Amino acid sequence: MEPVLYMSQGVFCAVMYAVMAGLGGTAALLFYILFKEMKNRTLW
Amino acid sequence: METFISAPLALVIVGAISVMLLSFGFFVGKKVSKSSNDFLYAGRNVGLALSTATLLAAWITSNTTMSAPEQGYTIGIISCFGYATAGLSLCIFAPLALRIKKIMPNGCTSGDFVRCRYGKAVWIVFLLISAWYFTGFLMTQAMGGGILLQALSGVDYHVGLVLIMTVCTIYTIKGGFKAILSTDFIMAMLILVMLLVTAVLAFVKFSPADVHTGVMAAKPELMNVISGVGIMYLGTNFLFASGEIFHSNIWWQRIYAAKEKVTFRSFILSGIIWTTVPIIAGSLAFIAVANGYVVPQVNMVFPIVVSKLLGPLGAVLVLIIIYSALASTVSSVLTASANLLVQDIYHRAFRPQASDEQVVKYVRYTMAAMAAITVLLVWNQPASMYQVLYLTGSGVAATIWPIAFGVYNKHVNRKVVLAAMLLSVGCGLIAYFTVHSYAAPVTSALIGMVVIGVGSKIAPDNDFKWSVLNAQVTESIGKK
Repeated sequence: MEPVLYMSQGVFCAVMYAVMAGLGGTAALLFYILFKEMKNRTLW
Repeated sequence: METFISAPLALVIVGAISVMLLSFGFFVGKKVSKSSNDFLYAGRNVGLALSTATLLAAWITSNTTMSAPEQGYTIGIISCFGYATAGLSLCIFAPLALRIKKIMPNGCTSGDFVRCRYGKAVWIVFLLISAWYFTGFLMTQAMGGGILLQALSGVDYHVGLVLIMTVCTIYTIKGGFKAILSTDFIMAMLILVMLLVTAVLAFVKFSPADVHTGVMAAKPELMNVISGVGIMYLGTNFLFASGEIFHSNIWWQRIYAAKEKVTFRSFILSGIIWTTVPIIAGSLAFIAVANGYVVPQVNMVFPIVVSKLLGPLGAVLVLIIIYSALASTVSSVLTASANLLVQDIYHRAFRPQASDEQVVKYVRYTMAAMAAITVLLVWNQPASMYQVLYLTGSGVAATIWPIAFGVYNKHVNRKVVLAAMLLSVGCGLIAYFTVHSYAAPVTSALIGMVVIGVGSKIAPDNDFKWSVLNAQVTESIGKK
């Protein structure tokens, strides 16, 4: 029989919220870096 | 067949994205000089924002958003994390990328490193593996354009196929790597923002707590984090993705293009951002399970869930996400593979005296030819194309250790590397056909590690010098 370890509801919710926050945060960070580099003319 | 969006609306959306891509291609193309440094590496001075975004956009393929939910629906939560390990591969490659940039700042392709580090025999095997991988990858992405447009809107397969290949080829030929960098930033942001909007709207409608409760009631095995298949999938996906990143010229071209000080950070940042994409896309499958949605085609679980949750708006979001993912990947594969073919075969092997302008001209011709050949190869929509791509697992995993050992350890013996690569590919293929497709990359990578590690201890190369790498590349670039 296959071993079983279910992900708990708390962990599942925490992972989902953390990943969504992470995606939003890092996307915003990327925009910030873009504008900063555009201002400094260091895009390429 | 059920469609998710009307054909005219789908064509308007795809047309709008295509016009944006072509406009960038023509606009940037006017500013790009005829030198290969400008056309293929954007002047070798790319900053953190564009470098990160282009890594991200190239690595988010249509599979990332389509296959992750499918795996979540069939294997469970562990497969979402398994898929996300491909982002970890980008992070693991970061120190190697920086090392490559330091030891070979004038390099042009991944083939350059292998040829200068290990000699012609290993280089030929490496080029064959690269060609095998590029062909499979490009064919699946081209097919993806046709299949997805047809599945989402009912537009004929050939229209989607020809449209995506034509648009990507034209804007890449016109604008070169600078056009790719500009459009990759926009497309990466489109994908991330649209995916985030989709997930937020979905989880506002059904909270993660309710989704977990629903899955545990309907199919609790999907929440098992130690399922055998899931763990096997996690391991094989990580090694396959690592092999893809370590050997493929898509990533090496981006290393040479970036500023040295941003190389490490761009791989780490893109890897971190990337890991969120398959987890979010995959988690949407659990909404389908929790709510008992009927999923007639499991590979369509992503558009089915999003369309059911968000109606026509959901279908529009899905189309934008997937078309952007496809376009950014197709342009990256086209330019990286044409660059590898022209620089390594035409320039290094046959015409060392070719001028810089000739190299750029032939890269452009090669891109057009590859796009045309790809369209012809998948015109009749081969049924087993994804199996062809999975078959490359033994090949790409065989390149992990020659690259990893090769950039750090100067005592690695080139004859041992040749033997290791051949043995890895052979044993990986045997494992593919006799055990499981998942076993191929694991077998191949394990054998490569043991043979190169042990072989180089027994018979170390005591003559190699790091300075040879850049000197040889600079010399071959200089022969014009």
